[in-house]
Amino acid sequence: MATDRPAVELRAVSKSFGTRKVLDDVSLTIEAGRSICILGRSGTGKSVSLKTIIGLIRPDTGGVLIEGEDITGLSSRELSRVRKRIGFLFQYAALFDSISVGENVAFPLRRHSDLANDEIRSRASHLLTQVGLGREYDKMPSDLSGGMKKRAGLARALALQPPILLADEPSAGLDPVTAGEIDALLVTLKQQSSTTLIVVTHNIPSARTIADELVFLHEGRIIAQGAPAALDRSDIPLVRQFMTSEGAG
Amino acid sequence: MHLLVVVGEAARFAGRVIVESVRPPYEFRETLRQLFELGCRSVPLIAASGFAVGIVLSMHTRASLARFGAEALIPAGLAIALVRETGPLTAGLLLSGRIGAGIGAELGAMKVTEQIDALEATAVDSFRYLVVTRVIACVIALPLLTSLMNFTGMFGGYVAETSITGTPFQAYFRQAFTAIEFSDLIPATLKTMVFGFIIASVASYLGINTNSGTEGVGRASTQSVVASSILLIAANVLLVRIIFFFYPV
Amino acid sequence: MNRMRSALVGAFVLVGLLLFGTGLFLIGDRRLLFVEQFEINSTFGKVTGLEVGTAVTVAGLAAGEVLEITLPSRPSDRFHVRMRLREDVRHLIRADSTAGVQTDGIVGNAFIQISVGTDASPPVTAGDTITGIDPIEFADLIQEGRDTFRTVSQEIIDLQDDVSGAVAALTETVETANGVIENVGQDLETLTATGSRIATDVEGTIADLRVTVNDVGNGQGSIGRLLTDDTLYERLTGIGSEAQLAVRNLRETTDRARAAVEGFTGPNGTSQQISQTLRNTLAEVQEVTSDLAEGTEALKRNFLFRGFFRQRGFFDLDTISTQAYQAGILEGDDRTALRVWVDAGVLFAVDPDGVQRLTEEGRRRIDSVMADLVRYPRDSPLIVEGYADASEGGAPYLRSVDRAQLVRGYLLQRFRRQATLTDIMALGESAPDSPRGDGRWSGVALTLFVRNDALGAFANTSTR
Ligand SMILES: Nc1ncnc2c1ncn2[C@@H]1O[C@H](COP(=O)(O)OP(=O)(O)OP(=O)(O)O)[C@@H](O)[C@H]1O
Ligand SMILES: [Mg+2]
Repeated sequence: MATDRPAVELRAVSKSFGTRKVLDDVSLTIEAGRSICILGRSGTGKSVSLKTIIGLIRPDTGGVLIEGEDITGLSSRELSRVRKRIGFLFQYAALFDSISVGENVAFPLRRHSDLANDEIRSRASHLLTQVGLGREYDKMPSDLSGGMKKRAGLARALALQPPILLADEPSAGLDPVTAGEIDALLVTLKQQSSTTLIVVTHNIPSARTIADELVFLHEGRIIAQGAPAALDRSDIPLVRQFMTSEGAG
Repeated sequence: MHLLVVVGEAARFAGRVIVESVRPPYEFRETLRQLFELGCRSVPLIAASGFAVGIVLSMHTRASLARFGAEALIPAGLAIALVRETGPLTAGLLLSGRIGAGIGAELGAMKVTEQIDALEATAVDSFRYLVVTRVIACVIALPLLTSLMNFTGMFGGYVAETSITGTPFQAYFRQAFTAIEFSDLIPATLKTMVFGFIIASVASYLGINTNSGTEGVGRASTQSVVASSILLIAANVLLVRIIFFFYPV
Repeated sequence: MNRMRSALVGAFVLVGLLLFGTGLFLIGDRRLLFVEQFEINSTFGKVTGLEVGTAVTVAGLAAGEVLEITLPSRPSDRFHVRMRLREDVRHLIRADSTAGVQTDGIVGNAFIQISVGTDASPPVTAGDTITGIDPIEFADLIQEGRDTFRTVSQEIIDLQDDVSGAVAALTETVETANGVIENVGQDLETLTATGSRIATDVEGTIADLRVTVNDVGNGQGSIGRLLTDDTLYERLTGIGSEAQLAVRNLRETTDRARAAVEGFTGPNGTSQQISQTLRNTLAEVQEVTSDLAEGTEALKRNFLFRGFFRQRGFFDLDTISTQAYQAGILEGDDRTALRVWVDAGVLFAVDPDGVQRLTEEGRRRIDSVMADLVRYPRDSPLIVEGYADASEGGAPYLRSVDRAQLVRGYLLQRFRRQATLTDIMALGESAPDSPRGDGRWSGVALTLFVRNDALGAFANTSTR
């Protein structure tokens, strides 16, 4: 699409829940095909930022632009059009628990493509294989472990081959080997499909592998932003703490 | 104040249900699935209750009519009672228990596990997909289940009666229908569509607005039953008045 | 799985619709929406319980419903009722069929019953009007019964002199029954009692016939006519099944009595067997009578009916003291006592064995006294007062009892006075109003208590 415009742009976004200001004048621009990782302590508004980008949370002030289009004022129908271009992995996977794992992955395809049933099934199987769940197609989500759910959720987010992928802690709760595979998958997506990646993570090594740029959130504000190498030299204590950790998690 | 807000929101919600339910595209598959979940799966409950209610009603009718030597009127009396009020209201209340609690709990759980957000993120209009389909399924299922209740009720009455007097099946039903008019059967049966609308809308509203975790899910479920039962009874009074206005006895 | 589910949903919807549709069909079927039909009219003076949609039956078969009830334009017009019937019963409804409003049990709905016509009459065509028979209401039934009683009473009054005694007693009975019905309205229990009373009194009358059976002769036909009068019988049957039962008993009893009487006076009537039959019947009648008389007596004492019986002259003389009697308790505001004094010297002779008896001369005297009194209604109570002077020797009271009884017996026999309306009052020697002027009397006084409205031009107390 219009590669000259940034894939995602937050313009002075603020969001409060009650009296608590979760996002405070956050501005952020992510060019198409680039990948960033959002880091920060628990409860600083990382998940809220991702949900704001996809329109699940409307900012109190400021604008959210997806490929140049401000989505804050869109109707639900127009929003749907925009959302089809975005894959979203929820922090807790949020699989639909009334349908099987495979059907969860197939769900976006059934809703938004004209593909035949067989084709949908084979694509869903393929996606599950990519995240290491090739044999779990007919299991129900409640029968999966937390890490397996997370991977299934990633497969669902990728089903429509979205140009933008938002992933909330994709490798949290995974063993190092599987986490590495997931990181590799994200890198492949970025390189082969030039997918724009916005990934929330606590894991600095994986952030280093995936991200072109890191963004540090603290108490609703961006306190540091830049390439991993640049942030290694940051004089902000919190950032340094993060950067030197070997980041389990 | 809070109550007024809730009533206002619920009314807007109901209005939105009506508007959205007539607007294409229709969620046909999902409606069918809900018709199965809410309709077909209620058949055993309704059939068994109807049968029991029929037997009990028949015994009561017999007790009062026998005093006047009017045993011949038992089938007709039972049928009138069932068709006009007992059938629709009992079915409505039973289903507000089964369906109301079910919808409240299901949507509540989906809400707190972010499945509703996940639907939205998958570019699906969660209101149309979750709420409108359930309301339509309920509006369709209620009159059908009421007819079933009326029938099994009369059948129960027949069993009770034939065990005493040996009345043949056909004769019983002929007699039962001697006192029923179109104006008894049609409005009373169709009014349960309103019951269906109330049950599904109230339960969906409470389910979708669930906030605080598992506890909230339980609350949504019980509140759905309570609120929809009360509203249903109130609506019944109103509907009976309206029916009497159009079909005075 | 998914196909299975769809199939189940399909089955659910279809079965639901089918059940609803079956309900609609059964209603429509009952309302004849699916068969050929025609319309027919009838008229009624009143439409008790009828409304649009009321069921119409033909000879008991559900055949249609009332479509429309049009009000009459004038009070003298009739309600116009339009009905819709199924075509396949049309050939049963003929020009002489009638439509009547009936009720389905006591609490049931009203419906119209159309009778099948006769083969000879032509079938009706759509739009015809057949005769409507008005619904009979309970109150009407009683009114009609009352009217019939009146008519019957009138007829009987006109009957020949010869049997007037027996028959007039019957009239009295009928009127009494009539009065009871009038007073107690629809109370079925009382109606039953009334039925019994009718039976009692008629049977009493027939019992009286025993002594005058020879006189009945040519009058027998007239009695027969009354007792077999179908109108009376039919109307009575309408009042209620219990009353009906009582009347049937009455009819059976009287039939037997009549058969006996016929036999007695018939060509072979002298045979022993026939008189035996008669005796049996009468014995039976008396048995029943005494049972029922007891009931009647009890009824008289019932405070609810006391006033009624008192008005009719039914007093229980046993409960009245001689003082109260002589003070005029029986006269009251609406009744006058006509008293005729007759001296013992004319009436009685004493046998050698000391027993009093009525002389020929005495009988003639009583006849002539009665000739004056027969002008008054026969239901006026007649009391034979007995008097005896102390100067005659013996106990005056006992003598006065004998005298009164002798005269009463003669009255019952000769004038067929009704026993319950003819009683005695033994007063000894005390006679405050005595024409002798000394407050005493020897003999009898015939006292007729006449309702003031019946007194008319004869309002003089004659004394002899
Ligand atoms: N729907 C909501 N209503 C009210 N408060 C909310 C809502 N969503 C988030 N918050 C609040 O906003 C703050 C930020 O939450 P968020 O989920 O973004 O944290 P986070 O940075 O993702 O933390 P973690 O790393 O633990 O996931 C939290 O304090 C949370 O309580
Ligand atoms: Mg989070």
